[in-house]
Amino acid sequence: MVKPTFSALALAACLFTTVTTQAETTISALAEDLQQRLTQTPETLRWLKPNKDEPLAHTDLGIDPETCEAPVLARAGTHPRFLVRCVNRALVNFRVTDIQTLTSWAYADGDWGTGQIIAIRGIDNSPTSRYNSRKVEYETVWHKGEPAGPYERSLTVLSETDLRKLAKFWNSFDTGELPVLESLEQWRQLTWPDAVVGLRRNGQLLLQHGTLAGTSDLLEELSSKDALPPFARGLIRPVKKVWRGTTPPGEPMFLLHSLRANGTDYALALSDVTAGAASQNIQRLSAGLPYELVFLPIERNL
Amino acid sequence: MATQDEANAILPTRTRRQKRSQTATLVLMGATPFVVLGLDPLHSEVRVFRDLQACQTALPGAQDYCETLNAEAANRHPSLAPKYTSRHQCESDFAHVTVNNSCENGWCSIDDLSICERKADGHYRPPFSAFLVDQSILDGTYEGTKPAPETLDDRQLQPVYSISDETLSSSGDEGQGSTYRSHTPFLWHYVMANGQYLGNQNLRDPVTRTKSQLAASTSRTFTGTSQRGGFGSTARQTMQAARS
Repeated sequence: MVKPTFSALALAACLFTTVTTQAETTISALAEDLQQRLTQTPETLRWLKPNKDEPLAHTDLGIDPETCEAPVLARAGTHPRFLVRCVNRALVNFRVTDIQTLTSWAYADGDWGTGQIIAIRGIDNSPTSRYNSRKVEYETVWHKGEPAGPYERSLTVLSETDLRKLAKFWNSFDTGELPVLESLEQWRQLTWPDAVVGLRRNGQLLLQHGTLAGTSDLLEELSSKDALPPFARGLIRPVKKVWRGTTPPGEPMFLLHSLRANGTDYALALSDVTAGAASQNIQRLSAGLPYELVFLPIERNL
Repeated sequence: MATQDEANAILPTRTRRQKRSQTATLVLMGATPFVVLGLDPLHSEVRVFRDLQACQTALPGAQDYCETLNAEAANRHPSLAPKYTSRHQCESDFAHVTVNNSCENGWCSIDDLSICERKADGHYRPPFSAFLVDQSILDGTYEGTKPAPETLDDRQLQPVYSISDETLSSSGDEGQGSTYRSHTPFLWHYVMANGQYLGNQNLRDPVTRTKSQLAASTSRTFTGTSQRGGFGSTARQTMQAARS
């Protein structure tokens, strides 16, 4: 077995730092750049309707970019991508309707490509009778190609507050903190109880069916110095709901952010492996980085 | 009076043959006059109090007495509780959720869990989570009789522990394909320090047990690091006997 020399290790560390720093500085900077383009010079941008290939201006689509939420990162690393959600009011069949669009913007070669509208969601916002206050929602129109995954789907139904929190999280993610994946390996060495799906920095636990034996070992490890890198809010394990019985959760990952959409909990996590990602419904949100940013549903078996 | 060993020998027999043996019939016939008179020399009725407040609710006129009963049960806890050399094994038997809502709805605090504690002797013990009191002692409080708790024997007052449903329901149902049967950490049961099953977490009514079953044996030490301790096995057997 070839042992790495000190200089090789130092070079690897430098490269790791450089790549990470580039990724970190570009997330918030690119988000700000996209927002400025949308609000100040939207005429320079073009959109594609779902499943159509004719680039259109925002005026053709009835999108007022001033109404758009802040861009949210959808892919970090090489060829970064952002999602932007906008809501515009329109008359549809003589009904006041909120038209929500979710557009994917990819950044390549120093410029923004054509925005691909992933989903168009219509919500009838007409005044309702006192006997029926429920809002009528039209069937969402989805783009059938890439990109489309649990992340995009959850962003169409995420509340405005949570969407802003998510954007804020991504902007604060580029703080120059270096992911320490070595400490993730330490956590993997522990015997995780089947009941423990997640563990927060403050000792809170996310549980499902199964044994709790070994919980104290986890909490003891958590209390040790530098147990978690500064960027991690805790640890999360992918878990999939099954109709009969229970599946034990998978390997722990660093929990970065969590959100709830349409009654399902989701986690943004950082790991170095995505083996078996498809079976666990894990979506990769990074490319070309020394770590993987992933988005996963947390479907606890209760 | 039946000894512990005699009772343990009788228990499985009663379970399997459903009290149909001639010997059992004769024993029951012999005990009938006592039962009719409300004097059962073989059995005692006990109440399990989840906490001090539960006792004080049941005995509104003896709130201070509840405090002394609870304190005395806590005093007896270190010497009576089952001891484990392995924390993992102790948690395997006892760890469970005590506050269901927060844990089922989302992230829950460590305070919502019952996990094993390490004492000065280096052993791990389940936490003292409840206490049992002989019903006759409780009845006496209505007449103003309040014997000093330290004078009560272990059959009349002792700490009670809560064991996970997982422990009581387990055995060999794991590892079948990609899924396996598992039990919720949100359910638990009351057991005595000797492993005697008392009831599930919703237990409110008095429990009748033989006096030998209520006798607290000296604290047992479970060694090793295996997944299952002998304590869980005892609790399972006595639960099945109690339900039959």
